[in-house]
Amino acid sequence: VTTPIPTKAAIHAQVRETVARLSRKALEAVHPDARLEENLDLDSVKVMSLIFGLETHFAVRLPDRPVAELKTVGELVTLICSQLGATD
Amino acid sequence: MGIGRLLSRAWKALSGGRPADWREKNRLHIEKLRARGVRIGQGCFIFTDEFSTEPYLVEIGDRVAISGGTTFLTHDGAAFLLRQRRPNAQHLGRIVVGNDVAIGQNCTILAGTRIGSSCVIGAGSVVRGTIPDGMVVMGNPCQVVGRTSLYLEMMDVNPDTIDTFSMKPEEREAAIRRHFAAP
Repeated sequence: VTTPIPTKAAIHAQVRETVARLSRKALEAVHPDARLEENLDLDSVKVMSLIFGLETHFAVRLPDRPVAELKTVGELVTLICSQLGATD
Repeated sequence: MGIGRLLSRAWKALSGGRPADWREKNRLHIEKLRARGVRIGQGCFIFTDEFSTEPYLVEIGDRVAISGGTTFLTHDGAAFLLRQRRPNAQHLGRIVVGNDVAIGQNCTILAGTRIGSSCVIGAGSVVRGTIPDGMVVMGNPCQVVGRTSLYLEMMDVNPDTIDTFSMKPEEREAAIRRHFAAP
């Protein structure tokens, strides 16, 4: 049994929803250019928790260094898409 | 008198009563804990003395750092209530900590806990059950918040991680003050 690869849109929606919940910000605030730390007040513990939750949800292991260097929601979406091989 | 205390007195005598280097203090402290029955691996730094009434039930792996104020509880004090109908009852449990673990300040590690290798236990956590290898946990009751490998990578890229550890105290203080613009 193989799990279908989610689309980029589905990944984007899931990331936005998870970030909004963890940061307690409105969904509208979680746009691709929003910075995780500066705009969404996600500290390192929350970012780890965010990554752990998304890895579990998408059944994927994200590489540590690129995750540690993430700044924005858009970069996170791109990283997950590339790890999953997601397409439009 | 335990071997630890003897070593400590010997150090004081040899050093003319000057406070020992913290590494030497740590070594003596670990010797003292081993004499009490705590099993401790190599390369550990232990800044707590709280190993409960059954220290021989605690086993600590190699390269483990345990901060001050952390308590290892090898029994459940609520057995006090059970003793009303079972006068000699005690509820006990081993505590096992794997290799390459960092345990923060003021944690409580409960009886029966197994902490895997390469784990980080956040300050103030109350830890019970089994913590899988490679996880960062925190809170009360503690919960997994992420992977240790990611935690370390994030620490590595953080601009407030600076290379001052092996500096002499005055040099280190100056460097830290400079970094944080502290007057």
